[in-house]
Amino acid sequence: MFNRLGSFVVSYFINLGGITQLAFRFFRSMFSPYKLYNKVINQVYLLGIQSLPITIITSVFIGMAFTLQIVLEFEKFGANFLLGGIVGLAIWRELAPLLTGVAVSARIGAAIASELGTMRVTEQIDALKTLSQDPVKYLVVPRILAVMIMMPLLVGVADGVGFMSGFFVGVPMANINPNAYFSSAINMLEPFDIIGGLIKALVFGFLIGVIGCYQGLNTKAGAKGVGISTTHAVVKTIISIFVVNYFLSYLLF
Amino acid sequence: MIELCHLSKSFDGKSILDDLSLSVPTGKKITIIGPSGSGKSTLLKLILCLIKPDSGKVLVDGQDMALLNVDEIYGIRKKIGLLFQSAALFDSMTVEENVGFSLLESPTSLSSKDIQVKIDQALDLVEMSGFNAMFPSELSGGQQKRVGLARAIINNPEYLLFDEPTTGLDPVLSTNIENLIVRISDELNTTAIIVTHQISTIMRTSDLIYYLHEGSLFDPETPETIMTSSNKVINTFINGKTNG
Repeated sequence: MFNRLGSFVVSYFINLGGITQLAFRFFRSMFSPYKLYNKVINQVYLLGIQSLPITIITSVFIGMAFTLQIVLEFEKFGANFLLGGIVGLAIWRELAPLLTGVAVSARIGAAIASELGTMRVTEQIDALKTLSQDPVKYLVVPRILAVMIMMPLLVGVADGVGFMSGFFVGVPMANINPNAYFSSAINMLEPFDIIGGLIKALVFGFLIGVIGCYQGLNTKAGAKGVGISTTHAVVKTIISIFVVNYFLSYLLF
Repeated sequence: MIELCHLSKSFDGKSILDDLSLSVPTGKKITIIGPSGSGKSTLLKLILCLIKPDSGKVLVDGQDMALLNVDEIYGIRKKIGLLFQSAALFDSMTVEENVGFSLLESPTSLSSKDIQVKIDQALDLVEMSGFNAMFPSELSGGQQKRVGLARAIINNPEYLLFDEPTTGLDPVLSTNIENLIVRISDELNTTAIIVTHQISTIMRTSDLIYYLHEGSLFDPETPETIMTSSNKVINTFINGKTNG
């Protein structure tokens, strides 16, 4: 048991060190890749635009389910008039960034890790190096930048969709004036509630990109290794997002 | 000139190369032979600085690869073309994009028309003209190796490395690739290092043949002498004898 615990701790710090090192290499070379703009735009389309449906579906149902629970409780205290503010607060500050982060981790983090992992085990990464291309500049930088660009945009969509889902479920159930939903949101919330959520999205985008790339580039042992890397990328990213989310909430709001 | 000086390399405590030294004469085609897992491919990766030796030096044109910075290593790699065992083509790119990769993805003084001419010339040299728009998954194993070879030679490298160039190919395709290796090496006047355990490749492509045994190289043989080598290990390997 102590052996297993020991190897877990060692492996944890090796991974943490590797991810940190990759993050530093990203920041050092983030403006130097040749044709960076084209590569980022390409990745934004491949990774980001295609994540729009899952983001919309997630935020619709989270907005509806959350509002359903809130309305039932608020009715007991006659606080239905606060519905818009509470739904907005929960969705903009926490639920939209967090759940979009989780959904995008599962989609984009896994896609990055499996793509780079496949390139690793089929020697395409070595081929890049022999052709004098730095894999960090060529593969890692465009992917991380693309996810960092797309995450705030996706969370912005999730903010709007989640809030309006709450509107369509909450207003008829709570039997309140539709204007009251919006006015309670305006009275209770500030622009920084949205901006703070978008800042979280930017950080989560960085985590999704850097962990996905790290796992992909360190894939071993063939097809099985690609599967393991992909799973690890998703699990590590989701755990990191939950942990970092707490500290960001503490610092931002 | 490529020189390997007292190279040692271990993986997970298992010694693969042990105090190995080799000078590759300029303009010659040398072949490294030996059983699977003997460290032949590791040797090529050490030359390209894809992995680092535990001890010893790799000198390319007199420059110690271990003392170079990243940009200098990339500069040296431009002089070396490698044909991977699996061809290692970029599967999301067409044949044309694969072959022209090093020109399309780096700043160059060549115009796009000039790059296209170079791509077409390289594909013509490996007899793959007309396959420009196809993807690697649409090609056979032999065709993929040819495209990999075109990618390796597009910058007219001084050195060509071949990692098991004919493994897994049928005899006709193997002969085609072997002829290509000889023709291209001669036409481009390159120094070639071929890693293989295919007898036909050894006999057709080599000026000198080195046998890698327990991490070190035996004295070189030639295609004329190797079949009747007095070295028992080489003789057993070449003639396909087993201990049992």
